[in-house]
Amino acid sequence: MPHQDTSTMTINDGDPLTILLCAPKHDLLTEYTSSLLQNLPDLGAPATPIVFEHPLRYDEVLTGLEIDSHTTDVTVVFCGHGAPSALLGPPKLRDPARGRNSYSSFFDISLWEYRPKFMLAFCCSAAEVLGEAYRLKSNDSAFVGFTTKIGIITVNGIYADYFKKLLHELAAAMLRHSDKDALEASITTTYKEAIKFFHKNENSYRYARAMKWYLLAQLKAVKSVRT
Amino acid sequence: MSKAAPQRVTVEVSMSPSRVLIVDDEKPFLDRARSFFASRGYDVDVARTPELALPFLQEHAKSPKYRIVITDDNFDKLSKIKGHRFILDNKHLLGEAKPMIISGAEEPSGEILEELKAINCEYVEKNETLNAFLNELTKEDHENRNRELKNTVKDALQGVLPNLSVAAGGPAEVEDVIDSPESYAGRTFPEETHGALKRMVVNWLQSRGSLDEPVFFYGDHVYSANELIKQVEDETEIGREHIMMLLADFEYSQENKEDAPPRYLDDDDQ
Repeated sequence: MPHQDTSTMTINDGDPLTILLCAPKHDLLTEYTSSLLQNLPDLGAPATPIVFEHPLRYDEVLTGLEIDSHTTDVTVVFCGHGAPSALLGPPKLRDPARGRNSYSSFFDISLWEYRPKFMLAFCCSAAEVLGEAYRLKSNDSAFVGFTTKIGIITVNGIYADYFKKLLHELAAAMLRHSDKDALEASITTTYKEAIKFFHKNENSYRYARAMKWYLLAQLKAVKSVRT
Repeated sequence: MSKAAPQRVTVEVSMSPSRVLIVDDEKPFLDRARSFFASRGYDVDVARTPELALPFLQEHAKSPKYRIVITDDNFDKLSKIKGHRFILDNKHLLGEAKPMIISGAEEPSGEILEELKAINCEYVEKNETLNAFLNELTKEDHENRNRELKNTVKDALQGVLPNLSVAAGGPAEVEDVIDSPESYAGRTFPEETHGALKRMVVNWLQSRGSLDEPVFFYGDHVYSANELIKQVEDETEIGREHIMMLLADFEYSQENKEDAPPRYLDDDDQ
């Protein structure tokens, strides 16, 4: 598994917190999304990037980094492909024509006992089942994800800047708010500010309008859970 | 990114009034007619006799406010003035308002009917026909109002936004979308509006340049503009979802008019 230095910092009543920035990198989308997690602004605890080009399971990450999820609060910020019940990794076999079913699973319900305390799933659909599992079966945890497929403009510059900002603010909100209404309000505010920017600057950036479309759709599909 | 400083442009669109004047001595009819027009979005003024209606018409002559003026022809004990006389004697006050007379027991002479026809005044019986006629009248007026609104908005926008046809796909597309605001708000709309929205998405994509560069990730694929255009034209699930996104865009723009972007396109945009 990719070797990364890791360290923990103590916050929230003395519980150590580890932040893992997880991004598969194996196609056009994930080349872009993995770059979004580079140089993410500080989230209040050291963050370890986990970029992987081959199938990798979340429990393998924990093992490799010697993290005990029962004694350490882990935050996962995931960026890549998603499915209703899984965060997806690189295909098991390199065959793009095989479609979604060929993707490996980075995290799914089978790894529930290792689940991170906080999960930001910036990918399609994971809120539908994974998010619901967090709502029904977790305690003192948070999940932010989307209930349907989402769109992204895969262009650098202002678009990447805003996606990075979004990722950072969603993750920070998830860590900051222990109240679910406050978390939801914070997420909504973040999206509305981004949408407003691209609306006002619709004629200044080539893909601003599509960016606005995708952000509006993301706002509609975003689901936050705080237990 | 644009080099020029963005300018804020305000477009004022003034519309002709949507008000009706009803003159009738029968209170039940007045109430019925008032409800009929109010339910179709009109404001209503009423008067029981031509004498009481005259000040309304005089006011209208100074500052037009009525689209339709309806009067009974007979006022029995309340007035000796016939409705058709009231209309003909005051036709100079009508302006653009459409007059209409509800017939009584005696029909006017052929000569008077000719005079009424000359000023485009309808003459109709007060029975079931009236309801059907009022429906037709308001439908025609509604279509006229819509046409007027579209032309007014188009003229206002075209004068200020030379690139509108590029941004929106053409005046016809703008017209189509404006045509069915109530349907659009409810998210079901006539086929021609759906077609217009589809064309607008395609036209916008085509205007982006770099048509083969994959930049639109959606679902599990990164589409180029050309690929996304195909999805929209073929109305695949992805294509239809992008058409709905344009609809959501319009809703957002309607709700956030104060944040409207300066409406121009810069060839050097990023």
